[in-house]
Amino acid sequence: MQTAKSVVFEGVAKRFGAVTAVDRVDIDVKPGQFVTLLGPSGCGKSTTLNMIAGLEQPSEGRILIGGRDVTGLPPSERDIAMVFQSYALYPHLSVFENIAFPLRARRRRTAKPELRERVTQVTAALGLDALLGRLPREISGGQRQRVALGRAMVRTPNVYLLDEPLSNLDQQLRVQMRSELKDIHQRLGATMIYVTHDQGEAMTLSDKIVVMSGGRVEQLGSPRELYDRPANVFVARFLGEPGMNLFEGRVDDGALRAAGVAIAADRVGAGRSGGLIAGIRPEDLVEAAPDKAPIAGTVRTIEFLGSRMLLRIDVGAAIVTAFMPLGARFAPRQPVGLAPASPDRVRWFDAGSGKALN
Amino acid sequence: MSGCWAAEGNDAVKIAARILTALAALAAAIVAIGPIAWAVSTSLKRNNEIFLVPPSLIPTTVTFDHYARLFHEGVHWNFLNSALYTFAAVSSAVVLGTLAGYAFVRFEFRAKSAMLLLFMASMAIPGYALLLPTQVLFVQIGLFNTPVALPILYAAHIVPFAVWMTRAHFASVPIELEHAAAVDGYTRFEAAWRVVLPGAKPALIAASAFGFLYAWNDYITSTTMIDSPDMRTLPVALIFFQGFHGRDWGALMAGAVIATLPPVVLFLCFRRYLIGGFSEGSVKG
Amino acid sequence: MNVATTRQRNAAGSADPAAATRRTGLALVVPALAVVVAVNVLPAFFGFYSSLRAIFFFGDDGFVGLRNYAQLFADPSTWQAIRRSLVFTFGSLALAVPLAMLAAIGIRKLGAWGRVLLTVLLIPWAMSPIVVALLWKWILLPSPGGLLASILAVFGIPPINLMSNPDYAMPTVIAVGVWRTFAFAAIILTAGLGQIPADLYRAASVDGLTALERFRRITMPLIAPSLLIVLSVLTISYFNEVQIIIGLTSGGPIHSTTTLGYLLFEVGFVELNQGRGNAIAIVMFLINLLLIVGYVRLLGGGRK
Repeated sequence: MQTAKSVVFEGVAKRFGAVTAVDRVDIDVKPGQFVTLLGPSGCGKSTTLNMIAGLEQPSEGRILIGGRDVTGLPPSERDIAMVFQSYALYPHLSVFENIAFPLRARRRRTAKPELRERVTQVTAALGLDALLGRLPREISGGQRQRVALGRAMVRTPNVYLLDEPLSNLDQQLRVQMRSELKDIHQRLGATMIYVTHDQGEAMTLSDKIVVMSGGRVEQLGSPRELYDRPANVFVARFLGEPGMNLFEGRVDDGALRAAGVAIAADRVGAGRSGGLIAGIRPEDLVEAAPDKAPIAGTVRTIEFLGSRMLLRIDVGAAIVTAFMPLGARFAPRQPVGLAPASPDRVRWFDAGSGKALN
Repeated sequence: MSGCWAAEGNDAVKIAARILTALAALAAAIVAIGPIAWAVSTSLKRNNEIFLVPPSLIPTTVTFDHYARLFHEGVHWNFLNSALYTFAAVSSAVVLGTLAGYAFVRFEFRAKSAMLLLFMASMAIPGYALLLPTQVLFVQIGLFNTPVALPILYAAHIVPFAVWMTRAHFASVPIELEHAAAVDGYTRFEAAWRVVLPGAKPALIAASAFGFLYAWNDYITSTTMIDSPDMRTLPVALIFFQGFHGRDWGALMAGAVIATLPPVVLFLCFRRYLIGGFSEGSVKG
Repeated sequence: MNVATTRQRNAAGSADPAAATRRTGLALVVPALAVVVAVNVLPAFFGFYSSLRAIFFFGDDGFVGLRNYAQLFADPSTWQAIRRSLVFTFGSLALAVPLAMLAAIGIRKLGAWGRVLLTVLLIPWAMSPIVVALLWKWILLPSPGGLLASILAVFGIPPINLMSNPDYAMPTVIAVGVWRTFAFAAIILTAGLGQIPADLYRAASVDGLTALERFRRITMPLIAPSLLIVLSVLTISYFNEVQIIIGLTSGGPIHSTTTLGYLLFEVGFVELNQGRGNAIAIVMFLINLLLIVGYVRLLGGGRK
């Protein structure tokens, strides 16, 4: 049976010479959780994953798997399974042998009948039965992806590590594999740590998301928390498709004011003299009469999205995005007024630190 | 209508060009293997037929007398010498070269690029210019005219090539493959042995085949480093035989065929790897 | 306390693997390096040392300074040998490179049959040079049995003794050497041609370039890097070719095929004048080095 383990980072840092890739990170992954490390490329998420795997050694801090300090241990002694972005299938081994490979390692050597049974169990679950004798180069990208998953699933590891496993698939397959992954996670009840730069994947899959940037954890929480209450402007902009609209300005007469913008800021803005940023998600903007709307601009482009449409609107020098119902009529270069759907849908940030205020 | 004519004219030119290319290719092929066929033919003819005018490619009566005479002279011992020297040189050189080639890709160490440059430069410097100092040196340290002299010299020539070939291959193996093996529970050595090496088969074959061709076909190193008849390689023995029996062309061509058969068969078996190795090497630079 | 000790261990642990990596890497390279240094570098120094001494028949008569070199360069036959080396090297190049280029174009044109052709053309390359020399000696024999003589006899032409005529010996040696080696160059050129995108030719046809223009304006510039590799490899290999000459002409007739390489063989290995022989070896070694540096410059320059 699966024995899901916890993973704990205690002040883990990784430096390459003068460059700090990961800067004193604390993360706590509960047994059975699906946790995603999310961030743009170079944010340190892959280095973090590699340190859990033991492929890289932290310069500082310690890593615990299931309460055991594994910081100095080589990958082979951590009992983890990993799916690589390139799948890293052994090119000279058949699908069967690729999946059986972990079971042939000395420390885990499995008797033949049991090995066969476990491999076929996994291949049956992944629909790879017809391909057992094929070499990796003889199967499709999606099938390779499944083989890589199968190689991880064939044993009962403490933790599954997945490094952008879907990024080499085409759009349709990616969405399909995404739900299959979620299904597998629920079936196995295993701890999974997933690395991606795709916020859509992170949102749909995770119990918990760790947003990283510049080697630091920007925010850590459930997808819902992160989406609704981003801790800072980085997270606000990074999550959501498109990201949160940010209006920077100064509070004057109870409102945040900038070119074409006057958003009521009574509750937060009272007594603040410094710069302020108001964040509003595109779906939280509604149309208002152009002459007295809090946000006034001109329509730049209109994108039809099926169930609704996405407007890009020039407001001052900035571009604001807003979802509008299909019924509404807009034309390019037409003046348009916008307002927050309700005052509590506005998220306030300090302009200096970028940190959330409410 | 005129367009039709143009197309036809074009086709005729194309067909003519094709026929011309095919004929030229055929002529080139005949020039390449005709002489070898002639040697085989001579080696199988009886002495009176060898000098017949006009000559014929197919012997009227096939005889193996020439081969028998060579064996009587002990050519099989020279064959064995050549085989042993070649095997020892190729196997040791490919092992050493593969280890170094792997280290150059996967490890960091001092003076790495300087060492790599040394390997590459020594591949360009032909052994011949250094053969005389080597001979004098070998005489002084007692390696001259010993069974290890040729394996050492051949191996030293093959090693840089093996480094070059295997390094290019290992560089193309993604590090993730070794990482995956480590995660799957294997040590670094096991990972290299079970995951990296099997994929390097083409590079290893190419390096071995090249090494075989070089060592087996050598004459100049062998003739300058070995003095005793019982340690002579096949090409040297053949030239000595020519010195004694200069007009015995039947036996000489039989010797040429014996000396040529192993490398040509090996080349035909592994041509894909050899041609591929050189093509890739040149394209990758 | 507990945290502090693990921190310390980590600090040591992160320094250790790097050092271990360095040691392992070095340990893997050193055996190969030792063999190469012992056989390719040491003799160069020893050769230079020996070239400053009077050594005959392995007997060392002591230090003579640059006398071996002085005598070598004072001897007109040395300069003749250098001249013949250049004739042999560049004569072979002039014959081999165009042939290889033609072969490569033909090989690409013929498709699957082209690969067969390349294999067939490469068979002589798999042969021993000394055996090749022996084989051609038999074919070129100017008496009954010689294939060339017999073919010429059909046309009523009397046999020509190519190898005992000072005017013909050098071209003969060049031709036989090229017969064995030109297909090797064809491999590299074929691969080079394969790298040229076919779209370029289609585009050029659309742009109205003739076949000749396409060759001059697309093939030539794009094949140049491969051509440079071929030239460098062949130059060095032809400059050091000696086995074909030993096998076919032994440097004769009247020294007409005595290249620098053959001179080294004669002086150093046959006459056993090892002091002077080493001086020749060092001169050859330096010329090789010069050629290599020159070509590396050219190749490196082409990269940038």
